[in-house]
Amino acid sequence: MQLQYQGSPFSDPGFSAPELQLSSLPPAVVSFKTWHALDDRERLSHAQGAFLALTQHLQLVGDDQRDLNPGSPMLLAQIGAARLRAQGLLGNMAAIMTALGLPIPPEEDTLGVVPFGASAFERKCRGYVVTREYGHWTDRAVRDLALLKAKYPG
Amino acid sequence: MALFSVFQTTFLLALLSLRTYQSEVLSEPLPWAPESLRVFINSTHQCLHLQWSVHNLAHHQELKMVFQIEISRIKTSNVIWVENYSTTVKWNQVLHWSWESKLPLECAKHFIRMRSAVDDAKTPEQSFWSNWSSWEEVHVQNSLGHDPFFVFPKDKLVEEGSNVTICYVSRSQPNNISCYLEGVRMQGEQLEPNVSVFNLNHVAFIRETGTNIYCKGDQGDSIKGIVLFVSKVLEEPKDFSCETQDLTTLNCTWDPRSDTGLLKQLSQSYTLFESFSGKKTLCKHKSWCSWEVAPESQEMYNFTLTAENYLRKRSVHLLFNLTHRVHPMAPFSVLFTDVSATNATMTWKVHTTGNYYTLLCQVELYGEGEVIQRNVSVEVDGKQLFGGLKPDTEYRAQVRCANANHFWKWSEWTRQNFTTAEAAPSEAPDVWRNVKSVQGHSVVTLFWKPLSKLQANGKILFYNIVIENLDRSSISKLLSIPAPANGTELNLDQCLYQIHVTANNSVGTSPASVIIVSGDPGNKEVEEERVKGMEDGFSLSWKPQPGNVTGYIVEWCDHPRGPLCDLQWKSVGPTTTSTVVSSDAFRPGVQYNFRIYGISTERVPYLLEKKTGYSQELDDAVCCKYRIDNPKQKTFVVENLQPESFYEFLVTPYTSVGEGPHGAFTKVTTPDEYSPILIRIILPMVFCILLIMIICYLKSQWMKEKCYPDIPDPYKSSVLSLIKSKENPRLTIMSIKDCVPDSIEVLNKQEGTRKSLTETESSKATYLYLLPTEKSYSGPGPCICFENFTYNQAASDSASCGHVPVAPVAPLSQLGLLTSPENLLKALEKNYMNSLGEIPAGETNLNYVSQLASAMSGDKFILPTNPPEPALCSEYKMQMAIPLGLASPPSSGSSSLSSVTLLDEGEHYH
Repeated sequence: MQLQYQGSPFSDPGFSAPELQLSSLPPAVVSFKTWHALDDRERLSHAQGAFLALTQHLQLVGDDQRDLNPGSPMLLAQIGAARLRAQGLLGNMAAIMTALGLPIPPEEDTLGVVPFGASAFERKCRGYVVTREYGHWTDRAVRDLALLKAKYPG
Repeated sequence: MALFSVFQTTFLLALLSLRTYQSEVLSEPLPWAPESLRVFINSTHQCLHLQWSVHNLAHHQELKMVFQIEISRIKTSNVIWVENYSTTVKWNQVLHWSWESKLPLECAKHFIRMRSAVDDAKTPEQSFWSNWSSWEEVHVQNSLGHDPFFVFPKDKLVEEGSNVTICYVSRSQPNNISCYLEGVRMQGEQLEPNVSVFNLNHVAFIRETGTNIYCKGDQGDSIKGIVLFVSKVLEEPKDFSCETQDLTTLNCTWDPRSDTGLLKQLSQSYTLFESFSGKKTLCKHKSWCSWEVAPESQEMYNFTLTAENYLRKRSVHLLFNLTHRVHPMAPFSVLFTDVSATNATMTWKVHTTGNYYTLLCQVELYGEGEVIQRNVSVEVDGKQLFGGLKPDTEYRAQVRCANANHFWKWSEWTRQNFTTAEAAPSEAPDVWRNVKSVQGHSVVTLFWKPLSKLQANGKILFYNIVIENLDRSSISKLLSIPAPANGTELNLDQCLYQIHVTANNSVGTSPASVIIVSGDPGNKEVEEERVKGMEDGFSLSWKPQPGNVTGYIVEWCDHPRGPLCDLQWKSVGPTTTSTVVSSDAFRPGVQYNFRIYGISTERVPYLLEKKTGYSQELDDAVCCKYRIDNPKQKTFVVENLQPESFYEFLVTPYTSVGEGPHGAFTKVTTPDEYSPILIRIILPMVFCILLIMIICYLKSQWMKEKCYPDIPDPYKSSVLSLIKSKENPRLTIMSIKDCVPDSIEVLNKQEGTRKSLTETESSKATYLYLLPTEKSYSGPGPCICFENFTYNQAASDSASCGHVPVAPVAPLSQLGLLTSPENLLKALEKNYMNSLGEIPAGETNLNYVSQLASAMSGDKFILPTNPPEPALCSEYKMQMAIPLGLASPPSSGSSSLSSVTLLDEGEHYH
């Protein structure tokens, strides 16, 4: 939905640009072998790190879109809701890690000074990457938690 | 020759020395050459700002100079811009000059140099160019990052219709980079091996959030792009106008035209500047602005309205005199005083707008179909008298005002309604009477028509009737009939009476309508004449009366066939001898009778003529006319009438001259056509059916024996004849008493012979196993064989049983569970398990002991739980006596014959 507001090429049907990445945001795509070989601590800390970065990036994208699409309150509300969900998941993960006796990585500023001075097109691009990675990380988090649940029943 | 050679050498030397001298003179630095040239880059605006200074100027010295500036692109030899910049240079001054590049500065290197010349009459000897400064190189690409390519310019804001140049700069070459504008690939030209340029002409506005232009390489490189913000062109404000309502505030309005707002740019702003006062205000609204009028009563105003956005300004001007732009506020306190039946005074107030001019007010009054318009000059309060109004009428008044001296605009209307007072009714009611003589008395029914609104002048409350006995003038009687009655009945004696009828409203009484009534109804026998109705009514005419008449009255009934004839009348003047009577109540095919009365000067009506006719004669209305020639005949049968139809009959005598008068019609409705016929048919039919039913009931046993006996008699069967005709003449019919009946026993066992598979299964519901599966025993498959020896002896010999595989059937007790596929699956599973494994103990088993099996065991009371031999199939045989030689003995082996197995195999054969 976010893409529909950005104009061509983002709003073109079937738009996909996997080559677009943000150095400050870890990609969710991982080979099954690598993913399966992760231990619980790595698995949870990867996801925890990703969602920590996502909450900050979604805040940034929300600010970007407030400038780019001020007349689309629905879009802004959805980005805000996504950020709150990411924060909620982050809290749950911290609780799981505590329960498993794993150390919780300290909260870091993942963005730094990167976001300032970006052009409108760059802001559209990073909005795309952040929302795409948010979806991928959510899918991956579901798999991660399902695996943990199977491992620690009850 | 040698001499010539020496001369030539000398000349060359001289020439050389001269050139050297000249060169020295030229190379001498100009005292006012540009120095300290610095170039600043503004990428956002694609601008180069040059800054330099001129040294060696004396203190307070001013010099007019020309600076020639040269700009090259890519390489110094490729000069793309030369400009002479003239200015006056002062001592210690830093000079500036800017240049905007069409090509984004990031797309190519730029080189700038300049030289100067004095262009001053004071120092004409210095008027030649200085040396060029050294080339200053501008190379923005150096500061780019490490991405494979870049697109420029970033986030550019342009007006619709302008031309834009875009480029991409690639780090690698060759590159296969394609660029797109809103999804359409753009064709570019190569500027350098790693730079391509795209010229966009007349860019169009697409959306407020900008137009995306992006490039991507075929190597799966990242997408790079820019957003081009194309704004609409700022237009001049239209219809700029200022006016005041109160001479203290000016309200200026205009049509702002299209909004040029974008994400990158706010909507255009508007400022109002007044040149006489020198004041300026920033307007808060897009289409209007308020301006406080100066207290020192400035009369002339010269306004400039300026619209401005990021790219451009537009202005309009307006010069006016304040008093010529007065748009008064709507009048208020509109009141009506001294409202009588025909006059009213309207007053209103206007807002004071200074004391030096008057207002022109327009007053309009709308009554019933009339409009009164007045123009009134007003200073503070307005007043207008309206006369000649209609009583009891609602009027709608409205007033608006404008500057009387310099008309600019009317104010809004202010509206107010009022109603004039009532007046006494102006006309006498139109009165008529009907007189009937009943037992020596006159029953006089008075009718009057309600006055029209114009005549009533108010609401009629009652009608006064004064009855004056003319024979005995002393006696008079007053009746008051409340409205809205339109008539009354009076019982009078045979005297002559004068009746006055007046209508009364709250104000007064109408003129009286006078009518003379005598005991004689005045219905003297006059000749009745036929008239023919027309489309618009009946055209009636009568002979003028020789004597003095005050008028004529035509009387008729709107509904002559109804019980209330609905008496109508029409009054005409004394000179009129014809009229057209029309009424909405007139119907085709109905005969109407008209009576024409003359009114004498004594106001006594007397009958003059009678007319009769149809407004429209219908063919089917008078359907037939019979002439009865025998004057003594008193009965007549009318035949061939339509059933269920309404007829009217009239019998009138005739003579050789013509028909007599038409009396009242006799009304007859013919009965229904089918009822008698139906009764004639239905009644006998009902009787017949009842009779048959009674007979059937009485003879029911006999009927049953005959038609549907409980046990068919084989001797009477047609089968017998068929058998007899075959080759087995020995076949006989078995007698019923020879038959051994089958028995069904229900066994309820508490313990099974084998242990059940699971404990839970022992408590399962009762199952009825009609057939076991093949695996439940080792013998041949289950079968249901119906063998009929009577019909097929050969089949029985060959023991060809029809093996009918039957799937396990869900037990009855489980059917309730089979509502979902899972339940069905469970049920099937259970059945198969039971079939495969052991049958649980404690089950009720239904044992069918066939007559054959019991005959074989020789003891029909023996429990079939332990049959002498495992019988795979029980057998069912037709109850037919079979000769021994032909009957195949019941087999206990594999050659099972027709059999029905109802036993639980699991229980009995394991």
